[in-house]
Amino acid sequence: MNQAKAPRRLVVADDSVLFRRGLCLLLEEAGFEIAGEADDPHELMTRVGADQPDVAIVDIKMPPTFTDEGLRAAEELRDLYPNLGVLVLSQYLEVHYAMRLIENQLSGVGYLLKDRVSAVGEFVDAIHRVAQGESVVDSGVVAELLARKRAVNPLDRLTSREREVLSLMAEGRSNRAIRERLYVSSRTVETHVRNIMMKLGLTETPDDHRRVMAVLAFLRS
Amino acid sequence: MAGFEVLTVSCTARIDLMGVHGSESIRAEVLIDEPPEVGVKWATVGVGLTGLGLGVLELTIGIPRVDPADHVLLIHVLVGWAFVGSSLLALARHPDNSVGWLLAAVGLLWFVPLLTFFDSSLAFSLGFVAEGLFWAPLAQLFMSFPSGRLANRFDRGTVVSLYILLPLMNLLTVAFMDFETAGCRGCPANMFLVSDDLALARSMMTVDSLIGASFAVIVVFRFVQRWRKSSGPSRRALQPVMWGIVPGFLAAVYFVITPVIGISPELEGAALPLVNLALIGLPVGFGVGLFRSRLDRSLVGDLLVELKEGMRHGRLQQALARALGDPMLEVAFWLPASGKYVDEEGHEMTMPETGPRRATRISDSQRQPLAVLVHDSAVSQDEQRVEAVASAARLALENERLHAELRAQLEEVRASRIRVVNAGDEARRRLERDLHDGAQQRLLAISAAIERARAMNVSGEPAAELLSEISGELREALVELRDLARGIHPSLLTDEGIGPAVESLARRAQVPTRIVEATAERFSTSVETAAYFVVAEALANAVRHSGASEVTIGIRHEHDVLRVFVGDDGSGGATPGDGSGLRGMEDRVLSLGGSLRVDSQPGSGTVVTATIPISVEAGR
Repeated sequence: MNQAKAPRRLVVADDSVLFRRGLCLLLEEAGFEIAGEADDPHELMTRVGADQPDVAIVDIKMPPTFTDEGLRAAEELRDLYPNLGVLVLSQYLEVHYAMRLIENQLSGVGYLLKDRVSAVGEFVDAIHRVAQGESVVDSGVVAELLARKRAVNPLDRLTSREREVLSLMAEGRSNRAIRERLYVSSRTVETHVRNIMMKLGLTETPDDHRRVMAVLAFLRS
Repeated sequence: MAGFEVLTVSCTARIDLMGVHGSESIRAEVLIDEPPEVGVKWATVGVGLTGLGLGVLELTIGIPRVDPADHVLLIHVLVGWAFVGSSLLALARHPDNSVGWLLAAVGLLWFVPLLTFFDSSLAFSLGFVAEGLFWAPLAQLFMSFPSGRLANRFDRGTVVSLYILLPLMNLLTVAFMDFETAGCRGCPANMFLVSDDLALARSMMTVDSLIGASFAVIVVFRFVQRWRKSSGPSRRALQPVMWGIVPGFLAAVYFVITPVIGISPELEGAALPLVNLALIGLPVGFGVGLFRSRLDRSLVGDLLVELKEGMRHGRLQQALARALGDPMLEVAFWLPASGKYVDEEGHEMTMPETGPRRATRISDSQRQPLAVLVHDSAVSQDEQRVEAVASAARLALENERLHAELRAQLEEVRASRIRVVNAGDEARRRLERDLHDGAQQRLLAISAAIERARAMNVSGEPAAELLSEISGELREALVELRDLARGIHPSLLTDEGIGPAVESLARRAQVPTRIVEATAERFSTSVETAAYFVVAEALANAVRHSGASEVTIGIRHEHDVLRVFVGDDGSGGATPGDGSGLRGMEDRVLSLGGSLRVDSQPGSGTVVTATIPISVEAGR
């Protein structure tokens, strides 16, 4: 996971100063450099333009309307800076927001619950992944999708190991990341993935980002 | 001859007064001077006899003088008689409307050329001065038909100018024209001759024609304008005149074209009488128009019968519209308590300030304002009839006003119910925002701080363990707080609309839930909120009470309503009154003017259907 190009510089945008300060201190102590902080989307754009960070961490709701400023800022940032990773932080456990973000972007974006500040490892991991161009979907969102009550549940056809792999796929992880996480061989992961896709009637794709979208769309329907 | 002149002059003066100064002065004049019935009757007879006499005279004197094959004389007399005839009809039906007098003036002034048949110098000269004077009352007729009133200052100015300019220009022409020099051999001497200057007289005539042509354009333009805007009784009155103009217009085209293209004398001999005959279209048009716009006495009789038999609520306006012959008639009730006008349904109304609609005020038995009839201006030409209809309907109007007042109050109650619901929703939205912005951010900040403390290698096992424990508790608190906030008001509903919000609801439901249809459109906040809480409540009931194994949800935009459907396959037997929360959502839907249906036979599941009008603009 920690390749040559490890992200160091961050810009953090959140209108809640209390949370933003806490988060910045936490991230600094975890080894990142906070290149800039912003209160609103406008300031965020300025800071990113001036400070050239590796990753922008953006609150989903910011002034002036407190609706979807963060999502729109993420799209804009990805258009302007293709190498910038954008991690959207949210207080809402809603797959709709995550899908909106993932669907509109090629990759390098993530949707993470703010609650993850209490598990700094997960947070740091997500920052690394968006910086490397992966897509990140919060594990809580995926868990909710998997837990959905269904009259006829196609997920019943999966083994418990396959469900584990499916949930990692939905979180946006690559085969390599899944292998590292589950301590299995890459051949095993490939077999799991192939079986899952077949059982759920999904088409396999070498593109990780497309795979996330396909899996999320399936789980959501 | 003297009698005739006096009559003509007095008629014109009187008409002038009536047309130009509006209805108040007519009534005052008529009431003070003479009892209207008898006076008008005699004047009518006078007009009729004079018109007949002048026509006969013109024929008697004229026929020996002109070529018998030339029908121009006969046709000239016929046109004059047609005007006099329609004036008699108008005066008999609407003695208090100036239209009849104007028609009479046109008809009598039509015979002015007769004066030139006499050898008397005075008569001959007067005949020239008064030539074409009938155009003035004819123009006034065009501009004031059928009410007899001129609509605005411009129209009044036009008509007054014509009354002044026509005789003035004639006088100026005659002042410089010696009849002998002009080619009239053996004609009597010109009494008004100031100087014999034929060239000057000719240019005066040209100016005269130009003025006449411009006024003709203005008058016809204003008439066509009024005709286009008219509706109801006005249109019925103006339409025949419009048809009457057409032959006259063709005649005018003929007069313009023949000198240009040239035409054989035989053909001209045949065409000329026809062209003159075309002018008869005008008096016939006015007569028919007046006849068609009249208010039928029998309709008023029908109203009286209907009123006597008792009027059902909501029928009064229609009945009055029928009685006054104006299908567009509206009744506005004055509510003194709230100081506004409302219609039969209690909706607020505004009174027309200008335009073709007029308002007639009606007072109640205590002489306080009761209601206003908003009707076509043509209806007011028969004020006595309107008065009669109004007083006949007074009791029914008072009755109907009570209904309208009640409805207005209901309307007010409904509006206040919407306001209460909206205020509640707004409070919930604020509370949700406050939880997120306040408590949740603070807890998140504490989480970050604890995480930092854990990372700082705290010495001693117990402290690290305690921090882990606090961190876990905090995580739980955050989850609970999020669920609480979402229950108060889902942020997704405000941000993304009813479709995504209901999908999210279905995903988290404890019973398998299928969405068959969910519109992605956005609606007003109150509509979306109502639809959301209907689904949430019905879903909660299905989970809690019915033991359903599957729930189906549909949200569809149909024309002007949002239809919400939640069905389960549970035990059924739910009723809105059993504390299931169905009552609350029924109130919410009703406050928006929608309806809620609960089909829940024991053993056959429950289907909740809400129909919510989307036009409700309260909210957002």
